[in-house]
Amino acid sequence: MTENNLLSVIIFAPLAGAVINWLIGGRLRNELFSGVIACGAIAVSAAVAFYLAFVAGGGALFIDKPILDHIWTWISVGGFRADFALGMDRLSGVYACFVTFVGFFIHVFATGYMKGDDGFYRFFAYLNLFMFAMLTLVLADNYLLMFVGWEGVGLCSYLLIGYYLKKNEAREAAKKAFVMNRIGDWGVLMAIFLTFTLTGSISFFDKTVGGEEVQSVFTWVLQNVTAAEPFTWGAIVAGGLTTIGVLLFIGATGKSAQIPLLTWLPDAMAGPTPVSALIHAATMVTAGVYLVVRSNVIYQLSPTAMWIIAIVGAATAIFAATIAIAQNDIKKVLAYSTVSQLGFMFLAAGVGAFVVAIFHVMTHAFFKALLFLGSGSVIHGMHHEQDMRKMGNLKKYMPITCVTMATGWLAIAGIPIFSGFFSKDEILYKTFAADKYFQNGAFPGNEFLWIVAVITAVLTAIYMTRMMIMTFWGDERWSEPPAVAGGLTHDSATHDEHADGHHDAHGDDNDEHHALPPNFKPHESPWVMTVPLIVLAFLSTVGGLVGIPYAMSSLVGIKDANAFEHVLEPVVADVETPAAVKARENAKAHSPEAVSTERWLALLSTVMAVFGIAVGFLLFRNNPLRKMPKILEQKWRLDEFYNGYIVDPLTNLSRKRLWQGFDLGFIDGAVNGIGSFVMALGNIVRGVQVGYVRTYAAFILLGALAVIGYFIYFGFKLL
Amino acid sequence: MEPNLASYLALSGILFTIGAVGVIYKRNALGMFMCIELMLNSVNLTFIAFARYYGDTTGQLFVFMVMAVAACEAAVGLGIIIAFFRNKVTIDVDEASLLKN
Amino acid sequence: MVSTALFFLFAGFAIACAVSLVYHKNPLYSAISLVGVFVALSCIYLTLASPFIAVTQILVYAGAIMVLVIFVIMLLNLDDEQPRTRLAYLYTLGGGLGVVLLAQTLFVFYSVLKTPLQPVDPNATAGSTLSLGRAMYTEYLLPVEIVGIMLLMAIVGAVVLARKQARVGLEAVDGKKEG
Repeated sequence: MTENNLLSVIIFAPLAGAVINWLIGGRLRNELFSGVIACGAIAVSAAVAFYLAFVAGGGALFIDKPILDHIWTWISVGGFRADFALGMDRLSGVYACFVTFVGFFIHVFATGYMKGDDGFYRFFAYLNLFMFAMLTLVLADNYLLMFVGWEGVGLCSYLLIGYYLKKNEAREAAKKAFVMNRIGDWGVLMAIFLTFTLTGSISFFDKTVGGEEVQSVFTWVLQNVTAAEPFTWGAIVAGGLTTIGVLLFIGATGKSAQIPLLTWLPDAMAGPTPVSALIHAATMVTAGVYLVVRSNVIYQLSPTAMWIIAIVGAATAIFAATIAIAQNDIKKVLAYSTVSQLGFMFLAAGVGAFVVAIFHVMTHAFFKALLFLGSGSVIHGMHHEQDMRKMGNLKKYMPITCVTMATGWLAIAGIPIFSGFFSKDEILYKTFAADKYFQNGAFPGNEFLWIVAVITAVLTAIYMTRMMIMTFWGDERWSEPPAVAGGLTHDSATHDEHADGHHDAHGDDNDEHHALPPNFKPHESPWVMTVPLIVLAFLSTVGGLVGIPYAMSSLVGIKDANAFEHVLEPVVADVETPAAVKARENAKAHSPEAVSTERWLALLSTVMAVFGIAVGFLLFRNNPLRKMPKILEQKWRLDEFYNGYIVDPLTNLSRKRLWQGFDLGFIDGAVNGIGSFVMALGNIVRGVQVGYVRTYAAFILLGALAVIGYFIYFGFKLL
Repeated sequence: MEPNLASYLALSGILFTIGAVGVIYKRNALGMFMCIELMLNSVNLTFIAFARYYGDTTGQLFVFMVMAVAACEAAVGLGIIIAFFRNKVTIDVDEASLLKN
Repeated sequence: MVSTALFFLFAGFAIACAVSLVYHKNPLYSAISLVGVFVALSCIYLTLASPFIAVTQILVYAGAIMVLVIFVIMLLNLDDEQPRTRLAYLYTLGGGLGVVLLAQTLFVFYSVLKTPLQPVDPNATAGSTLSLGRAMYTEYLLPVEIVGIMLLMAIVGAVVLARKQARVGLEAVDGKKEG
């Protein structure tokens, strides 16, 4: 355990940036000032994060003990202890590095994207505040402070989704995101309560504060729980580790947009594109994965919770992928793609491949941020047109954007060498071989999950190809009248259908519908936007090389190339159950058949990726506006389902029963009754207040007599 | 009979009652003021009587304090009465009934 | 015997004066009656072996406070009180309260007297000026000082209350401050 007060700089630099932007930037209204402050704050943060992760005292990523920074003791009551303290171990180190790094480039991109916006300073204040909350979430050294960050990112997400205050859709989306996240937060809170009840601690790390030993949750679990909990439905409500795991996962479904709480994320695209890139692709939505991996000890001992996570992850992945195929809004495609990829991450965590889940989080942060920023660049170049049916042939006008996005496309499709290939392939293999690595020794249905994941991978390749074709190839369609009337689907059933031919401008722009000028030509974005694209494209290409699995590297004769896994291995605790020991042995052994299996699977997934891209070209190259099944365009009508079966009955109950019946009838009745009673009483006694001094004197005397009489009455008994 | 403590206390009680009733009866502020002084004096009488019969100096000292307070009250009270008179050209307390409505 | 006669004389005089204080409508008569009460009480103090307090009573009450009151009466040139038709219920209420108060007071004193008394040394010097002065400037020094400060405050307060209000508005218009 080493103390290093630099850690607090990581979180407080963005906070300072936000405050400066809010207080001073709001007065100056100078875009250069706001941009420099915001980017500078993140740059400081990133520099410190990298310094701590790689340099300080050997680097947090390479030493066994976490770097801690005790800022102040927040709550210390009885046995309960929550510090405002930060800790950087290998997991939070990785997170802090890629969050600040990607965050920095997105900030730079945003300075170009938001140019000329009225609320420029406000936007960057929110963005910096988000970074503060996100880094608090990642670096917190206990569950409660992590929850503060968790709520903070929820709040900033709300503020940024609803950034375009004039757009009704944005406001609705912000509200939706907030409410859905609140449902998940219930789970997290319950899990924290239960954790404390069980273990008497909420800390992540063993540490000594002021001479007092603080034992972490995980140490307690490792010492006191020797056997995994039973793999039954009953374990979920037993109040043990499985219950904690499931409750935490409920929180994660909210934050990371898994079934059933996923509908907010596509709607969240109503916010500015940099926000979608930063919050709804790269960082915040992976907080759920972070939470699960951070609590891996608990999950390893509760197979039920892991199984649930894997199932939900796989289901979400394929569900979102099918929807993404039919979307016509470029950002919507990417949003559903994000949901799908998050499903992959949870699938990985669910089959016990925690390290791979984080690996995929990182690579996904690179290529999804890239794709989102690329889409932002496209939208910028198209004068805030988001409907892909009105694009086409943009490669002629926006070469840099096209090339960089193409790398992101290949990465997400899973073409070898690109980053997405390694992480996705690893997930597929771990799912396939879950029996060997699952901590219970048996994983029912893992082959089925693997099939689902492979299909999802193919679908991913298809819809990304479709997106690229509709955007960059084909004919220029922006001068044509829209092809399909009312074709664009709507995010939520709450806002009315546009019956006529014009589309929803999901534009990052306050004016809803603006016609393009007659001789309109798209243009390439300025360098502040293209440089981040290039950097992220580079990372999307080579980012996966830090985690080349053994099976791949041994092909070219390198034994131990998986640096990423070695960094993160200590994060996954060594649970001493027989199955877990066996699983670890299997992972270390690299037995020939396992390696060959992995190679064959990698070949298969490569073939699948190529096949998916080929199918995409076949389907859409000559017919980019091909009609997709309506049910997919309408997102399986999930929103309608929720509205019909949950929201409306609740609204009805609230309105009719609770509000009009209980609140108006009973509570207001009681309150008004008290009021009228007091008024009646006042009318009775107001004759006393006649306004004459002498009367008051008489009353004073009367009161005095009453007091004396009281004493006399009781004193008389004593006589 | 010799006058004893009880007789002094009885006298004090009677005077106090007269003063208290007078405060309610009197319509002009000065009259009320004088009745209050009467009440103070009746209390002084009890102090003196107790001091005498218990053989304790403290009662007399307290009378001294009460006199000082009465002097203060006289100064401030008469100041108030004068100010009141400036406004109303009367010192009838029933005229001071702004609170009535 | 003599002391009994004296007591009844002074007590009767005090009560009569007190009644006349309440009864008279002319404030000047009331004031004179109050002076009568003070004088009677100071005589009673003398019979209670408290010469210093008796003298102080005459000096402070009759000599200072009552003169002040009479000054005010003269200054304001007051008429008689109005006839007591207004708030007539107060007279019955006040009378009733007075009866109750008297009963309660007497009862309280009665019950106080039931408590055992220390016998009094007839030669006790409790009321002597010497013992009073000693107590005042040793044991009770702080209260005496506080009373002194309170008197000062009362003087200032009385001056503030009774002085003519300055015409503040005109100064503001002139912009000149008059010292």
